[in-house]
Parts: sequence; structure tokens; C-alpha cells
Amino acid sequence: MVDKPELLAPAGDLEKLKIALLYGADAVFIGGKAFSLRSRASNFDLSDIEEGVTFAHKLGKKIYVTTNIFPHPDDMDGLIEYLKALEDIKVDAIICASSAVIDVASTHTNLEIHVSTQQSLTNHKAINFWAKRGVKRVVLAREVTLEELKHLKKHAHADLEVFIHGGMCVSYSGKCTLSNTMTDRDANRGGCAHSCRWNYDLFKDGEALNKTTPFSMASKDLQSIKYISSLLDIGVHSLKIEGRMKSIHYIATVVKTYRALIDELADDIDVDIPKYLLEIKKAENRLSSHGFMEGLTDVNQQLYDLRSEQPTQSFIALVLEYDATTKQALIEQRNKFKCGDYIEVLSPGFDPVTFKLETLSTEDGETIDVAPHPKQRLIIQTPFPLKPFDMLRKPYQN
Amino acid sequence: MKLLVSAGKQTIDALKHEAVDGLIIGFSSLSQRTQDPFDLNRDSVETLKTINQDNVKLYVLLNGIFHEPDLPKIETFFKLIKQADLPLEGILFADLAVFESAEMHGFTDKLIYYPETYVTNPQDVSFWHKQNIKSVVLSREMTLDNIKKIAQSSPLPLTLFAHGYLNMFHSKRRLVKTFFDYTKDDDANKYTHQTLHIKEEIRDAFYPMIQDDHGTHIFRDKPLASFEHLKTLKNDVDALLIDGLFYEPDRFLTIVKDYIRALKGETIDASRYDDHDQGFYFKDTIYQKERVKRGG
Repeated sequence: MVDKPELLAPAGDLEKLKIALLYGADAVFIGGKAFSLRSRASNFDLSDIEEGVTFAHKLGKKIYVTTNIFPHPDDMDGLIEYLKALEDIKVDAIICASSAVIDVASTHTNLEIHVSTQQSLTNHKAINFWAKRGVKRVVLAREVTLEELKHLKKHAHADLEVFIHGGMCVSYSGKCTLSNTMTDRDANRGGCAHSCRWNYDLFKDGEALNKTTPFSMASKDLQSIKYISSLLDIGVHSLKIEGRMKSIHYIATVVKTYRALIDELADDIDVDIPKYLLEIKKAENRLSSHGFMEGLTDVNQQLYDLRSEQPTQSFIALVLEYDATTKQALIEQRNKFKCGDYIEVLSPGFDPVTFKLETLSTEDGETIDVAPHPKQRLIIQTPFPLKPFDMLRKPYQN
Repeated sequence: MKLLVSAGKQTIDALKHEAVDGLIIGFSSLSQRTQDPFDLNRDSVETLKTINQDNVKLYVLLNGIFHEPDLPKIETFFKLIKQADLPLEGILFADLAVFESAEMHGFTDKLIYYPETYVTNPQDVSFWHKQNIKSVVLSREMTLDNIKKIAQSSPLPLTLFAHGYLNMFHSKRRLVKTFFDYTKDDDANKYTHQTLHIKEEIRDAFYPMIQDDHGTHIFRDKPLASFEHLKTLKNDVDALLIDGLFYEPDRFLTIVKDYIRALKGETIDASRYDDHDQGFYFKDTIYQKERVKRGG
């Protein structure tokens, strides 16, 4: 039996935070409305952060807040006040990229400091630079391979956090200003326009080298099901899922899958890897691969001829309430479904179960056959009890 | 204000006779986005020692991103320059592993932090001042206004990338090779180390791109020129970096001579720089920070 690493999940709002924790995350990272990247994610204000921290601490779990922009001079206004507020709220750590933010935090607060992947730390000496300056943990660059990680772990004096799942910067993180040049949006202050995922033509001395296929730099998402065992053996401290802008279904599915996998591996149970690969695929909206786990990436880690991601349509409703007397559930629609559909229930701590939907009505009691309206609240009869935050989805079909 | 000029094996002999304050040379395995770097060996260091005897101040560019297997190369560098007793005026670095090694070998006071995107406000400069290094290079996306704001309270001499192609992307991935692997080209490696350009579908700009041993690099379409702003910059920064990547040697020599003249207050032929631009000097990129209110 090996020590279990922390499973760290993203959350863009309070609902996602609660779902991540209920579905098995040990900690959640969130962004405040200030000083955080992912400006399009629905970031938290201080009262939301406080509510999230209270919710997590009651479960014995943790909340980390990203303060990971590289601030320009005017952006520094209010930083000390903000960090002290986070300390008062009792967030468990902040995730910083800028030496300025790290310096201010360590001077004015006792907050635990994690260095962001935006620093692109790839070796133990760079990690130890920060460890000597009071940093507790570093989030490694996504370019670090498993072999490098084995060596690095032996010599690093800070806790190590490793990305295991989600989107990948194709550039070394924190080093890219494509957005700044091409769209006037500062990638290092939350404005990344994902210009690396656009289509380009490629030229040599004025002659186009790509005849029919657009040149692209887009990478597949990271998916590490097969590598969790090695990461446990190496002894990294935290396994990180990316995606503060992802849906609650994505968070629930990915967190629940890795939670079960980590628990089985830690208990020395023979794991059924194909089962986990099938389950994680239900949350996939872009092709995935193993990133740098096995070494330098090749063509199999890149995406071509694909303009955009394809959101999964399989998540159909979130359970809001369940009445054990009537055996009815109040649900909120997320994708179209109808009576007669087979529905799979995703629930924290349980294997998915399926039933056939026989009755469907509005909150006003009107019987309907089809549920086409996003966010509509509906009532269904179920053959077994459900719980708030359970998710209903269409069974996966290859 | 000092002029620090990039130099390679082919250009160093011509450049060493110019009235610049320092020449920045690279080593092939330790430096990236540099033209014509030296090999990391005793012969190169001895050659540089000879050049140094001409009263040329030498700076070394160690701006690689180093993974675990690369770390011994940093040690080799410090051992070689110590053994040869090569006088260095400065060591430009990005990876903090270089700081750690330099500290161990007693070179901290030569260090110039050059991470390209990370030095963006006065507190960053203050942090690096506390680490007892020589200077920091400001981030390349700073406006002139922000450069001034940082300079006003700077405890450290500031360095600025003032001329050349600004790198805007570095991937460890071999993105040219993977593309030609995808299109099933017989020789997917044939464009390695060659200058290519990419053009986005709805934009007119052609961005230079190179794939090399460090990965894939993309640059802004027009090189930055700073002639118009030297008077302002003189008050704010201590040294300017003038970079020769993508220029023919003769053209670069002309550029260097123009900066020397311009700094003396002489007039230069501005039409030579019609194909350059002002980088981010007036391009304030978007970031909207909301007010922080407890419970708000």
C-alpha cells in the first residue's frame, strides 16, 4: 500500500466546487475575481470563497486560490488587502506565478504559497530556489516527463504537484504572448485567446508548405489513467485536474474516475484500466493523450483538421431534490432528452446505474414527453433513490 | 545608457571594434534564440578570452529552460569559465537553476534575470534586488508608461530588450516535424533550423518560426526598434539589448552603428527602419481587474 496523493480539482463557481469535493476531490483550486488567470471562468468573489472554504473544511478538505497573474504596476493596487482577506477567510494556500505576488504574500501574510505552473519549473534546482524562500509546493511544468520526475523527486525540497488531466498549453506556460500580439489580450493576466489553437498557413521563402491541411499547434488534452500507478510510486504530493471553465459533468466524471482509481491502487487492488478509460471518455470533449509522460511529444499528441472542441451531449440533467415518499426527483435539464430514454445515474461513491425514463412532468405538474429547454426544472419518477448533485446522462455509446 | 549587443562566432570580430558596452554571446546547448552560438568547450572559452583582451566586455546568454538531464551542462559552463579565468561582465539567465549554480560558484553579482515575461512591476525588481543580482530585463510586453513606473522606484539597474524580433512563443514540442509527420512527408525533419513563417487565416502578418533543439519558437512579425525613444529610455533604464537574430551580419552591423550614433545625439536615416515597429511601447494589453470588496 502506498500513500495516497491529494486529488486536486478545478472549480469555476460554488456549484462546481461542491460537486468536485462531493465526487471525491481532496482539494479544489479556484480563482478570485482579481489577480487570477482564466478571466472568462466565472471567478469567485470573497464571500463565495469564504462559503467554499467553509464547505470544504467541514468535509476536512482544502481550498487553494489562484493569484497567478503577472501583474503590471497598476495591477498591484489592493494586493496586500486581498491576500490578507484570503488569510482571514482561512484559504489553505495561494497559487502564485509572479515573484512580486510571492514576495508580498510572504512579507505580509502567513499564507501557504504554491508556485504556479506558469513559472514552468522543470528541474529540482529551480524548485529548490523557491523552497529556500518559503514556498511549500510547486506545480511542475507540463513538459516534465515521468523519468525526469523520478530524478527530480529525489532532490526537490518542496512538495510536487503534477497535472494529470485536462487542457495543455502547447507553449511553456507563462512564456507565451501570442494573444498579446495577435489580439491585444494579455495571456499572462487572464486574457489568453488560445491563438495556438487557430489554423495557420505555413511558408518557406514565400511558398506555402501546407497544401490542403491547415498548420496547427493545437495539442490533445492530457489524460493519465495509465500513469497514475507510476505517479503514486514516485510519491508526488498532488495530482491536478485542469479545467476551471469546464462543466459540472466534466468535473464530476473526471474527479470520480481518478478518485476510484487512486483508491484502488493505494489499496493494492488489481485495477481494470479499460473500465477507467471508458469512464473518463464520457467527459472528453477533445481528443486526449498522455502529454509528456513518456517523453518528448510526437504527432500523436497533436490535433489537426479540427477547428473546435465538441462538447459532450450526454449530460442531460442535474438532480436538485429527491422525495423518498413519492419517489420523485426534481431535476434541472442540461441537454435534450425524452420519455423512453435509458438514463445512467452518476453518483458520488457508487458505480453508475441505469433506468428507463417512464414519466416526465414540469414543476407545475404538466405531463410532457420531451425536455428540450435548457435549465428547465422537471420532475421524474425513479426506480431507486437519488441525491442532490447526482447527475443523469445518456449511457455512453461507442 | 549601455548598449549590449548580441554576437555570434561570425559577427564577433566585426562587432568587437564598435563602441558598444558589451557583447552577448551564446552557447549552443545553454542558449536559445541566438544566432551562431559558440560550442560549450575549452576551445570556445579560450577564444573568448582572446577577444576579452581587446577590452570587450563579455556577457553570456544562458536563457535555456533546463530539464533534469540538462543540469550538468550548467555546471560544465561554470567550471569552464572558472578554469579559464574568463572575465564575464554579466550572465543573462531565465531558469532559476542557473541562479542556484551561479550562487554556488560565486557568480551571483554577475546575474541578470531575463525570463522575458516575468518582470512586470516594481515589486518584481525589489524581489530580485534582495537576491543580490546585477540587473533584471523588463518583460517585453511593457509599455513605455509602465517602464517609467517601474524605473521610478527601482533599486536595481534595469535592462530592456530594445531592438530585434521579440519571441512570443516557445514550445518544447517539435511542431514543424509533427505537422509533416501528420501530412506523411518523407522527411519531416527537413525544415529543422530553417526560418519558416506562419500566417493566420484572417490576419495579414507573417510570423517567423524556427524549430531547433530547444523546440519551436515563434516571433512577432516586425522587429522592434527604439531609436525614437532613446531620450526617454535614458532616464529609465541602464542598458539596452540589441539583438541580431534574423538579420544578415552587414545589416546588423549598420543597426549597431546607428544606435551608437543615435545615443550620441546624431541623426540617423530613419527610413532604414520603416519595416520595424514599436513593439508593446504603446500597446497596453487588456486586463480588467475588478475592485476587491469583502463580501462584494
